[in-house]
Amino acid sequence: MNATVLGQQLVNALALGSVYAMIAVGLAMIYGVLRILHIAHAGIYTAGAYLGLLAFRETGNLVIALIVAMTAAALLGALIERFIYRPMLARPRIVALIASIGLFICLSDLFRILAGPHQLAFDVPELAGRYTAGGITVSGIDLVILGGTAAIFVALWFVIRKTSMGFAIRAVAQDVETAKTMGIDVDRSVSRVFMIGSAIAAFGGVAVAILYNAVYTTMGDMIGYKGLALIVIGGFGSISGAVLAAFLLGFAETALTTYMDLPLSREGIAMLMLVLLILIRPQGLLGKA
Amino acid sequence: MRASSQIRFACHAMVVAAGLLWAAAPAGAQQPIKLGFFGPLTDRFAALGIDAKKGADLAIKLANDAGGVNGRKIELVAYDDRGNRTESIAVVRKMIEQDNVVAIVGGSLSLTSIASAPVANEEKVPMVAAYSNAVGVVKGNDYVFRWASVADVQGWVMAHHAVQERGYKKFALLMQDEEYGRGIINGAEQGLKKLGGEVVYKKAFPPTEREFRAIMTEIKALNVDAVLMSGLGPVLTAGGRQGYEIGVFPKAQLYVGCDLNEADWFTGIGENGDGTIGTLEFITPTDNAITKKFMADYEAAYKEKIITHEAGLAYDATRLIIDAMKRGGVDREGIRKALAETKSFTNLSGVKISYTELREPMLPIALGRWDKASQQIKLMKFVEDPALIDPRPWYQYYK
Repeated sequence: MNATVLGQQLVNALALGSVYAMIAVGLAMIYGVLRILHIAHAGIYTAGAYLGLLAFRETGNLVIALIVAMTAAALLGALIERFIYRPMLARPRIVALIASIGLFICLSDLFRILAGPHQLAFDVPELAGRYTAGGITVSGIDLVILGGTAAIFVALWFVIRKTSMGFAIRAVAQDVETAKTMGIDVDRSVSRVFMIGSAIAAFGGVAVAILYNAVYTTMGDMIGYKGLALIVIGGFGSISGAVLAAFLLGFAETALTTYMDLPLSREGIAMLMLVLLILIRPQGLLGKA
Repeated sequence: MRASSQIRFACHAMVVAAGLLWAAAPAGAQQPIKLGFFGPLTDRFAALGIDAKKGADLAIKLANDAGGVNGRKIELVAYDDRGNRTESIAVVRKMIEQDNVVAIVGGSLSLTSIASAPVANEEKVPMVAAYSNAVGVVKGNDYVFRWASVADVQGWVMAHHAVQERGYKKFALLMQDEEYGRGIINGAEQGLKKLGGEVVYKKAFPPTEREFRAIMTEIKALNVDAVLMSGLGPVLTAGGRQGYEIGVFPKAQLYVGCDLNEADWFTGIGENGDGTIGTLEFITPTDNAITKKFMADYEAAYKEKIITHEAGLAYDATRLIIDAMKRGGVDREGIRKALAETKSFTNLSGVKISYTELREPMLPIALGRWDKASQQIKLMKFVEDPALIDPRPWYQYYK
């Protein structure tokens, strides 16, 4: 394998890892504060893609489309937390998990009813350009994905580490009861986590829709399962662990599907990574034992 | 006469009168002929089943408008199999046992049709698989017919065109890993072996795959002459698009199967894909009057200009069954016999098609080329050579 091909595969893997990271980070945050496996997060990711497309068709402006998609997804996430999960928190977590699966299926059917069964194109001509340097080609949407992911994670790090809101979220993630005794509004913190995670997922949905020029009802299926694997691999509730796992998966998939004739799909690779890691390090990459 | 006898007599009189009225009623008042349909109408593959149902619905509407079958209307009894094998078996059993359909239009995938075809066969209900290309759908099921090509034929036609007419030597094969995709690539691989083409790269992927950049990067480094790819519409669109973006195409020629003719390709390929060649079972538009009328009818019914692979084939498959009803009667055995005896049925591209003894059509393959400027598939030619389109030689690969 020559250096050009290796360089191109690294770009491919980075872009893929960024996409996975955008869905995994929301799942990790939500698991961190509520200990819920939020399957319907993949539905929000899909909703973000549809909403972004709708806004883009109306305005022709990608920035507006992203703002609309992220804002609407944030509201949707908050509504799901308030009206579906919150009433179930007193019950065993399996109840919320089943509700989440049901909600995800409902969302997929809702998208099909509203938008039709065919995949829709999300063509942004401004991002169709390709830039080649040293034989390595990077498309406009690759740059948006890589740049957007970096910007989002820097902003997220700042919010979580340097603001009072982030302090409250971390406190809730550590211990809800202690956070309450410290006067932290737990419900508000949880709601904010859902809003932030959903907005990031919507960004991912729009980016992937442009990358593949396709918005379709089941686009969240596989990435949703992978997201769940990633939060386990990363260490339950660990945001940085989920991001690290996402990039590792991006690289593993690129390497294994390309250079090894494994009879495994990408999903199979993610699940294999999950099983191996649980055997070797049950607490996940950055989780605490 | 006692009161109870009077009541009994009145009841008998009413039954006799009702019978006489039914017998004397005009043909239009007779029970409709029930024709079964199954396909994925919800879930992941819904677009395919919904399009197939549109084709079947249109064929029935036009037939009913023209007077039905000997004055009897036809009714489509449609069920959703969700693209799921178990579900397809259940709905086919239901339409046979509860709805008492006289025949079935299979508007479903290869994997679900393979699962449900034995049910139709055991119950001796004729079934025409509209767009399932895997050999296993028809093979061994005496009551099951196909109105599509065998997948392997498409791969063989691709290989033949690439080697014999274009002179390509070095190939990459990309295979969607299920019955349909494997069939196309088997045909291509066997064909290339026979014709002296060299396969330097082969990769399988699941039907859900959308990420081909790593694979295309690898293919680019191999400098192949052509890439032969099997898959459903979204997969082909993603592969084609990313291959163009990475720079594999158009330097290398891209060949794809019949799912080039999917709405996903038309809406998703964008500025890419120019020159992609597809092996199609029919093509629209053509200059043929039959095609023009069909396209006008389809557009009037659905306000859509794209006639997808599933819509067109289901339309023709349904017309074929209706034609068989007219020739053989509306009982199951009569329809089966008439289907088997089909010698010259004109499809929507205006091509005449007959059946082999294996209940597979000798279906000419339309080689179509995607034209970016007009956003249409242009007919290159119909491949009619029996040595290329005969489905029978491919049965040996499916024991």
